[in-house]
Amino acid sequence: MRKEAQAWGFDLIVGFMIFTVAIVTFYFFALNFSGQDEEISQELVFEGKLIGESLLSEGSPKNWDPSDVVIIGILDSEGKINETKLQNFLLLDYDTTKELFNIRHDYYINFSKELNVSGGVSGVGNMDDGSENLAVVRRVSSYNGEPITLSIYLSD
Amino acid sequence: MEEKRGFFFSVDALIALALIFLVLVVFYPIYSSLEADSELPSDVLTVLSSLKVEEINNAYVQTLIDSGEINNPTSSLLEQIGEFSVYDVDMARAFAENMMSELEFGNENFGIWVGNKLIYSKNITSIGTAEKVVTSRRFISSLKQGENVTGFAARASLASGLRQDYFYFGGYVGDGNVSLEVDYSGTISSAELEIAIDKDFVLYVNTNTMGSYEKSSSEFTPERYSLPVDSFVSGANVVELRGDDLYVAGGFVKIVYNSDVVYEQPERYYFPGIEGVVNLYDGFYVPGEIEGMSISLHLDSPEASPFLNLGDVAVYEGNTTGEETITILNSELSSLLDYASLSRETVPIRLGLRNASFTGETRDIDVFSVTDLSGSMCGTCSGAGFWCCLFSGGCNNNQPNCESCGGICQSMAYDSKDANKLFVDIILNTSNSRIGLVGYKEQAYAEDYHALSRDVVSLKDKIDSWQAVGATCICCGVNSAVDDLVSDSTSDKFRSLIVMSDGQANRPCSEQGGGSATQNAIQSACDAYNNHGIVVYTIGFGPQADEATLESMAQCANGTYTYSTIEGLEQIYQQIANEILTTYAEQTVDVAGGVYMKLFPDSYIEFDYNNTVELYGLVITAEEEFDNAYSGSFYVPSGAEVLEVEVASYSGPRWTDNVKIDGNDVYMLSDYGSDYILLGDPYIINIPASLVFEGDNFVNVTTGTSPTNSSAGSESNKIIYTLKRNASAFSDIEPVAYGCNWRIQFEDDSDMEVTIPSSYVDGSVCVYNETSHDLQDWNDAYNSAVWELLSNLDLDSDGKIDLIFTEQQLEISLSETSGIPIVLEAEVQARIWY
Repeated sequence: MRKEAQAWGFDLIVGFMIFTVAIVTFYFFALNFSGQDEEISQELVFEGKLIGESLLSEGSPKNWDPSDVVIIGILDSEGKINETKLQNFLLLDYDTTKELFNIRHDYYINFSKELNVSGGVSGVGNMDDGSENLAVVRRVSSYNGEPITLSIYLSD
Repeated sequence: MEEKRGFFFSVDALIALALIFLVLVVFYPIYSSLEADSELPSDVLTVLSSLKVEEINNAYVQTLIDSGEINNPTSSLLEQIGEFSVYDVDMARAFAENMMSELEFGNENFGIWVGNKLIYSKNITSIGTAEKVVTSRRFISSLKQGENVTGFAARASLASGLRQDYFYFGGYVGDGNVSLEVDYSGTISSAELEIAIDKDFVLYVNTNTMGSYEKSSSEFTPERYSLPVDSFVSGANVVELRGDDLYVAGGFVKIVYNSDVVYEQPERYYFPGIEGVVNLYDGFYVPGEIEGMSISLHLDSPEASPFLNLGDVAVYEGNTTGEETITILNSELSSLLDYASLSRETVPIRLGLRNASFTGETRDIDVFSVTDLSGSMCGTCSGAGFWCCLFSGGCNNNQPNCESCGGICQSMAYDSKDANKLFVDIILNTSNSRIGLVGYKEQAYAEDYHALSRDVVSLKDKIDSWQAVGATCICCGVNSAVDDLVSDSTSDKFRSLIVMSDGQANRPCSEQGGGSATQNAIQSACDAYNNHGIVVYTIGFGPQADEATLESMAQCANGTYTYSTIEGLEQIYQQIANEILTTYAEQTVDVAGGVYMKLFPDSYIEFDYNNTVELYGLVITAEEEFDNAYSGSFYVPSGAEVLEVEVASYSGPRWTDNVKIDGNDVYMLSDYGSDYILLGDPYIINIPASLVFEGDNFVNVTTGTSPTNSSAGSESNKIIYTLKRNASAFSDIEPVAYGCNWRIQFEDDSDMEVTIPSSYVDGSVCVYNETSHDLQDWNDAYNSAVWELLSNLDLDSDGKIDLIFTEQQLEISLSETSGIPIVLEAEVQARIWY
């Protein structure tokens, strides 16, 4: 009888601990994610959109170069990727591009096809492999007579 | 012990798993809500629109150009996909797959549709299970041209000989066997009979029996029967209704047939056949300036001398020595009638016996006055002592408290008593008539009841004793009065109720099933009439009266509804008393000893007038039932020519006294005189086309028994209008002509499934019904033409085709053209979904 009571008590303790862990886990994910992480993720997505909107434009001034760029845009007047503007974009310092894009997180842009500038480029930007949060925004444009995808990654 | 411990551990583990699962379930929606709106669909369509085929440096595309599959390299990729999707969906898919091969969509689902054809997709989950879909649309329109370009134009039409005609009975046709001539030339495909008739009858077509049919549920509510067409023949047919002293209170035979004879405006009015006592109330309409008229009466009336009135002018009176055809020539008629005043007007026709007694003129009456004694009849109490009212529980809406505290109710409480007393005086002024009283509150209390009686003093004392207080149980009052009429009266008397209320019923009755008090009130009136033949007249008294309920009660119980102001109540009671005393004499004839008369259905009035209607085109006749007992509407689509608009009025034994369209009078019976028994009662009132306009047109109808008595008509009234529309519909020149399996809904809710053209074998389904208009492919010439035709035949744009046709009556033809530019049009949608 005594041992049976002990078993009950032990089970109760174990059950209570599991329950507590589950509750803590729930609050950790629910509150932490929906608060801080969600906010960060939304900010990353927003910044990805900023980059997309900027890049898929003609930029400012329309024939900008690294010395006078206000908005980084890589499209020509027909909405196709312009190699000169793309080349100028690659020439810009990474931190300068972040300022011009008006973002504070790191970004990396991956092209679905290698572009024929600077000896061939398939991506531009800086990505921290240890980042906790990552967001991707995809945009489509055309280069050299073919549709291509620009995958814009943002990390904190 | 070990076993038990293991059991406990298992249970614990299960509980923990359940908790973890719960956490995941809660967590997932939070995570999933982070999906961002994507610009991908818009980007893809923008790129496909901006890139031209000739810019694509791609061996596959070059092959297509070289082989001639692509004959306009300056087209955008999107236009080329659209063109391929019209001619060759597989080619469109292959082309799109090639163009999109370099694109990455990650874990996102992406698809492109042209019209409703899926052309490209890259997906992990089906769009059918998507929780969120982001769509971008582009409308592409391109011109395909060149000498080798082939296009198709289709023509869809109905057999131009498809016709439907109505042959009308009069407003009142009796009393005896009734017949109607149905004259057409062609091949009949369907026939229907709609009729308001007082007794069961046997139907004959050309002396062949079609079987027995039941009487209509009331004189205001017709029945509709489908008739077999076997016995109809091209030419003159006689549809005969045989029974025991029948009378028809409106109706028609409608036939659909194929004919080479084009639409004709009528040049004759045909009398219905009557064998018994000829007692006809009807009307005619001439749609032009009358230049001459003649009458041919085929009559057998040796025992009685019928008279014929056109409007209020007697044009004939006399008997025959046997079967005779009496001809009245234009020379005589022109001296009697003012043709100008009869032109473009519905003119009443009356053919009957002048010295006949009309049914029930000496019949006795048993009537109950059923009066609202709820608190609202007292209303605001004025002049009562404040403290007295306070301690007695309130004086407003409470006549006993109000008066005991020295106050008086609003005048409604007293006016209703005065009106009831007047009613007693009028009813008891005729010998053998009796009146009973029921006052109702939340119940019909015995203290407010007086049995059927001729004791004026006792009745008026009871009225004086009425006190207004409590709730409103209209059905209680009706049921109480009906119980007494059933037990203390006989059906050979005219039994009726006068139900007055100043508010809304708020107490139900178990006899009517409980539930809604207003529905119970209506049902109690229906029960009174349907179960016992007791007619219910209703009066809405004052501004709070529930007119809809009272009107429905009267409608269901063959009575009339009248609204009364507080000041006008006595007059309303007086009117209804007079109506009760006289209306049962309305149009039904009763000849002492009986006479034999026969009016043959080949009797007619012939008109000579200018017929100006253009005869060619598809003539469509449609019916619209009234929305309520007063009014209805119909819709004239743009481009349609109005040929005829007729209002069919089921006035029962009353006269249709006024018809309006959009507020304009088109028929006023009192223009022809005040003694209605001498005037006709048209079943069909024509509305001149000049008063009908494109769009919605609203029609009102009232009925009456005298110029001072007018009330609602029937909810079964209908507007029958005939329009001329294009019989053919053509498609534009389209790139393809495949066809479709069509599902079509008609106005009578019947359906037709038809494959157009008949050689079409694929599985596409096109729909034209009230819930869906699905054409499948606008670039298909067959489909476009059929769609155009169906739209023409859907007069009121309700998705139902107004002209019922068969597959055999639908004609479709196709022509092929070369070298003519073709416009390709389609909507392209790019979607991503999560």
